[in-house]
Amino acid sequence: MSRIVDVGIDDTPRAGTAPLLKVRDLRVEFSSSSGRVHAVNGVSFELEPHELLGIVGESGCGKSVTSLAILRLLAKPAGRVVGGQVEFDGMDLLGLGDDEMRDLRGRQVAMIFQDPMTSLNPVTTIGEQLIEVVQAHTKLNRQEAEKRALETLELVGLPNAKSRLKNFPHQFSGGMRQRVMIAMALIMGPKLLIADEPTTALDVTIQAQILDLIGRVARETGAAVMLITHDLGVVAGMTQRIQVMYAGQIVETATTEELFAHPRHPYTVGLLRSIPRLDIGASRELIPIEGLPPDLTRLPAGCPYAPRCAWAIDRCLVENPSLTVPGTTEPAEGLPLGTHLAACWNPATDEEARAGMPASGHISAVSLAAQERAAAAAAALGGQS
Amino acid sequence: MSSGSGAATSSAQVPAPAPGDAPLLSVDDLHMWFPITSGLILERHVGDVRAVDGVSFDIRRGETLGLVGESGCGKSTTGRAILRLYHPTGGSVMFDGVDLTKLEGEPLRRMRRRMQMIFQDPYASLNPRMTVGGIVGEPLAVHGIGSHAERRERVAELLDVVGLNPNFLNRYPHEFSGGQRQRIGVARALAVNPDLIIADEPISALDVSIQAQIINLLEKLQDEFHLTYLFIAHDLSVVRHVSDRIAVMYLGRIVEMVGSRELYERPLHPYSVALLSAVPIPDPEVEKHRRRIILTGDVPSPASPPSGCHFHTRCWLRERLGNPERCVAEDPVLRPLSSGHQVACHFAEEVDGSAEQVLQVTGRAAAPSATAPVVPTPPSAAAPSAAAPPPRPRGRG
Repeated sequence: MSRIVDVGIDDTPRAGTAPLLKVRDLRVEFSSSSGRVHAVNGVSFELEPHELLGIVGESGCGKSVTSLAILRLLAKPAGRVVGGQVEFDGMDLLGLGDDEMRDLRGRQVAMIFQDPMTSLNPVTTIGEQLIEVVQAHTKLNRQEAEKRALETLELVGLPNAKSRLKNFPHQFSGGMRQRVMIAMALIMGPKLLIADEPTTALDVTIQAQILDLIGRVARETGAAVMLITHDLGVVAGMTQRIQVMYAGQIVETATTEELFAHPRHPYTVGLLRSIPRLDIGASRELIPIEGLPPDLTRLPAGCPYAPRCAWAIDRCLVENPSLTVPGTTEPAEGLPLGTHLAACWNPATDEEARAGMPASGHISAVSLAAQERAAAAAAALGGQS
Repeated sequence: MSSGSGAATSSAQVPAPAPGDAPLLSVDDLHMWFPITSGLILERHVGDVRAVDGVSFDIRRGETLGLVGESGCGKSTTGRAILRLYHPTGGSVMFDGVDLTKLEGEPLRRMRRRMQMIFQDPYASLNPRMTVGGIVGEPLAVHGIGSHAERRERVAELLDVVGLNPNFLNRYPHEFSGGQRQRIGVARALAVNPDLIIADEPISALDVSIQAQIINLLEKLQDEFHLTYLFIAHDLSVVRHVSDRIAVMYLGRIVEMVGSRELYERPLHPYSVALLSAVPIPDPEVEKHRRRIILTGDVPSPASPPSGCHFHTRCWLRERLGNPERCVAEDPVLRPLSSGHQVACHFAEEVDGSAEQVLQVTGRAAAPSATAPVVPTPPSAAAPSAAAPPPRPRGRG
């Protein structure tokens, strides 16, 4: 079943090393009744053709907003890009006209959303919805478009694809609906597939099916994938490179193996040590990250993670670190993709990462003070003693 | 109610209860069928959704039993039927020697004081018009415990126990974050000093960094107050972490019940093997060596479950064995395969030692140093809730 869909779509040979996507210092804000929400605060990264990139973070860290900003799908008028550049395949996406952007979406960059039920139109058959995509982007007639829809549904492993074309979204189970969503994203053979929490709404055995499918279609179609998730387990087996986000910034990035083997940023360490692992069980104690994520309308002056960080030193409270090679001040610019970078003044050592806490000498008065501040901040927000 | 299929299962429960150690909760052949009716004026009974279809298990005092399964498998319904939030269609629920299914009215209300529930969604399970003091104190008021002043004092104490500032008595739920709200739900459950707490997906709605706070809190409270937990969740990693034993459910029935460590290392039901294999492990080194069993299709409808073994329509083992008729014709009973390990599969012996069983686990095969070594973590300022009393002498995985 390895046929995809490359009729009438430009398939120009990709230049060897030129990145497919280049994001530079992206900043996004939302206006809200409680003030300006700084959702994305200077995010820079690159993505190569055919690459599988994981973006990991908790709700509100800006991972979804980053992808929506790339696709220019931010909720208007509240959300807007206030700075930075997005370059896709040599084009400046933020400068494109609305028509050009509309043509690019779906054809070159496609998105898979978290909740397939609310992303599909409930009053139209899925056949109609797929055909609509094809006809919006090509001059194919209805029969040809339907043939393309059928082929794509078969590619994503939908049983009885032919008769299913006439079904409405509610007639599918969650997993099957997500397959339809993936088919819709793939139907034009995009170069970049953005999957935003594609399996969060699904059961674990169905999640395995869908992740397997995304990996397979990425291989077969050669699309690059940006996999956005809060689940470190999902990215561990799927991606080549990972970026960890916190409070609208990338705090750490490395190849997948490097990141899990030698996490440097205390937040990454915290995430890894605060989730139970199926293969380890209760013999490993969970070390929670204390406190709460920061209020994005009032970001702290220094590192946004400092108030929750056991590694925090004086400098963390006043100066926000940028991505560097951990432990040095070597800037990220010009280093090859996949270089391990962290935005931290006092990165964790391997030993500390395994223990999930700084070596005792490191708990300085400052970090205790930081914890007290965090507790006070939490209390002010209405909570923890 | 028909008890034809259930009669067989009831006899084969509890492998070897230690003498003199009567279980706190003993569920026997529990059925919870919801009727499907048709017609507007004369409602005809046209079928049943068999949400829980013959479930039996025991929980000993101080133990945590994990109930795990995918959505629609009946795990939450089981929890609610035990607490009599539903009226079970059949079977018995013995709580400290009393059959809860036979109780009504005042005696039931009095029993309820000893069993409490923690709900999944901390946004939906707290009344937005009540203050935290009102919410946490309500069970005390309902059961007529203490005077008004005493109740207030008790509520402040409870908030302190769950790690909230006792001065926040007069605040409303919307002023708290998700994790803090879940702490309020925990405080409410603790208010009446229950013996049994049924926690239904207590951390699924929380952010990753907050989940560990609640898990550690539940473990600390169990030690402090000698609580017994029925921990219902879909996430096997979490269930393994908190449970002493785990029951795996599929389509209304328990398919495997075993100590939590052994479930991971030696699963014997084909569904358990597939379920374990599907759980991603946050370690690329481990993931590299694992093999995932991709089950085809979806869970069948509990309104018309497949005959015989409910799992036979998706079973990888049955396919391998040449689709034996027995899986379709005969209900498998939960039978003990080794001490404390029960499996409801006619061919469970074939699972043992199979490539599928071995390859879903890999920590074993890989060099132990490749995975994060087990670090005994000293209690510290960074993890105040970890500073628990001496570790329980338990066979936790």
